[in-house]
Amino acid sequence: MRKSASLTRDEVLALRRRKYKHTTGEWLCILLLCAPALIHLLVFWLGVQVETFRLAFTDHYTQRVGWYNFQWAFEQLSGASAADIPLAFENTIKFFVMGCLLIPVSMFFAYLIYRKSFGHGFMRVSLYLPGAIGGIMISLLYARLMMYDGPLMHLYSQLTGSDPVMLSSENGILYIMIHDVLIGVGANLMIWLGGMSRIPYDLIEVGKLEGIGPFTEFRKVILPLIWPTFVTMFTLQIINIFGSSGSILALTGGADGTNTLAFWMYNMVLQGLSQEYGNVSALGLIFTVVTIPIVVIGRWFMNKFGEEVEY
Amino acid sequence: MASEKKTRDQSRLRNRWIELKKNGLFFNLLGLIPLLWGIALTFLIIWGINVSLANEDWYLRHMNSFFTDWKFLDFSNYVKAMEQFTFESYQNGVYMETNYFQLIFNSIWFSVGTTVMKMLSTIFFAYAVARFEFPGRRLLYGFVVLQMMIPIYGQTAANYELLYSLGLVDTPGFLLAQGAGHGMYFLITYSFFRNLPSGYEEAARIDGAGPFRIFWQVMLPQAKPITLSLGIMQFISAWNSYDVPLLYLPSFPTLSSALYMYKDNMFQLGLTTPTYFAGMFISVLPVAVLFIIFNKQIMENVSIGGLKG
Repeated sequence: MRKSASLTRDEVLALRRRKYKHTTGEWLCILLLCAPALIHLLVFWLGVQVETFRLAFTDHYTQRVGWYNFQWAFEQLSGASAADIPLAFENTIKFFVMGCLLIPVSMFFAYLIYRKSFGHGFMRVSLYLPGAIGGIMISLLYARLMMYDGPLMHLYSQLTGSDPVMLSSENGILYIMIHDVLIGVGANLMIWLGGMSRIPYDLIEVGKLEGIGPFTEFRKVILPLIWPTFVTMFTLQIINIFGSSGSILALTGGADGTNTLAFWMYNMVLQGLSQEYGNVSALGLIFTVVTIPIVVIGRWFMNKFGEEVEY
Repeated sequence: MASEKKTRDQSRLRNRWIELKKNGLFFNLLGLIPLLWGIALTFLIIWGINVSLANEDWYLRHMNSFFTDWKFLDFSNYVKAMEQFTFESYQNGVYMETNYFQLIFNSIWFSVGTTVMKMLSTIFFAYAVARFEFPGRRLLYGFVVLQMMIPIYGQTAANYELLYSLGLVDTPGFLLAQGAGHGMYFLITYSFFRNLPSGYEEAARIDGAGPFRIFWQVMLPQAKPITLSLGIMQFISAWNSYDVPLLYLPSFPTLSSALYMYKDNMFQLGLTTPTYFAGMFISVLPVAVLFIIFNKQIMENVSIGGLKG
């Protein structure tokens, strides 16, 4: 038997023709099924990329093409101006770290539920349901509960004898992070539980017969089997490193020192500040370039620790 | 019969007790953390429902109380919410008034439209890429994975400019932009179709069925559970989305975007906190019901493995 490398060009073409041999109806089916997604991709994805580059490289006032917006972006990032981009950058990193920490926490919570820890049914519903059914509702309830003249601050005041804490630039980001941690754990729960429920019971049973405890089972059986999910979740977190804006819009609208880069960009458009569109796009492209090596290194690092398992 | 049930219950309790004992004290103690977490979140909702049922006058005098005196519960807040939840805005200098039922209508067409556009586009694309061999198939799959791996930030401005120039901002035509067939949903659906055995497909082909018929009558029914799960997830996400309608559909406020707009100026609009909370709870009712009915199905069908590219 000859190796494929030694096939002649005609043979390769013949093989390819056989592989791609379809009736007219099948070709029409492929074309029609792919058409909506491909048209969307061309218009709304490629179109947006082209528009991003056009905006980033065009000066809004003079309409001249150049690096003006990038110069502005680097000046902002170096802290040379009074705008709060450096603070937004700092907050973005805080959100990223928080998101990374939430991944193992939510995974372990899911394992506790999977192992039918006491109250597992209640946990599953109570942790996931609030964030899933009403993101904005929970944010607004939280805001009301935590407000200066709300019940929680009143209780705090009674317990400590001090004045209720007022929302300020010193505690604004903490206020949002507490909310996001409270909700964020449940958001990933479904994915973890979905992954764990797919693990064949035979493997768990073998461990049980060997008499291993829950921690060993988690470390030696569960973790290796759900490692691909872990890598994916972590990769998605890294991909979104500069894209997190938490619940800023619902809770503070960016006030009290709570801006992040993503929120700042969204807010510029929401306010209709078209003169900032070029700056927004340039800043976005800078962070895109920064993120690519982080994603590649992050994935390489994660894959070094475990291999993908088929089951 | 009753004694049999009693014995069964007793045996189930005994087994549960053995299971908990096997887990060890430390593991069970750790389990208290998510339990308390869940209690905190549940408390937040119960507190909110309680406020939504408070008599307005009573609430104004006792804003810092955790729970309402049961004598001052007022169920009419829910009726008031539907009457008073009128969204007032100025769009291009024109005064607009959107009442509660119009808000519900906007929420429905936005959520259903987004879900239908996205799911159709995703399923069609995933099926074609997963089940047919054609030039560029691997390239398309690789592109979708790559596109997910490389985020391009700061696109809100470009997206808005593009949609504005296409005349899709502030019109129901905006739904066209929601029909992305790529992304995480594509990968989940692709993986499903790829792993589907080809037995039924072959049998239908031998019986003379064409490719469209095979897709529509043989393959799609098998994908019903995953389509339903992803569709419900997409519907809930669209229903809760407030930043998208706020930016792209200002003349068509949905319940979520109106709730957001109300949060800072409800007193100027003549709403009290209990009425506002009542409106809020009515607005999440449809998705809560959907979630409660289908949560098990969603969890069984949606899982994320590795991103292979």
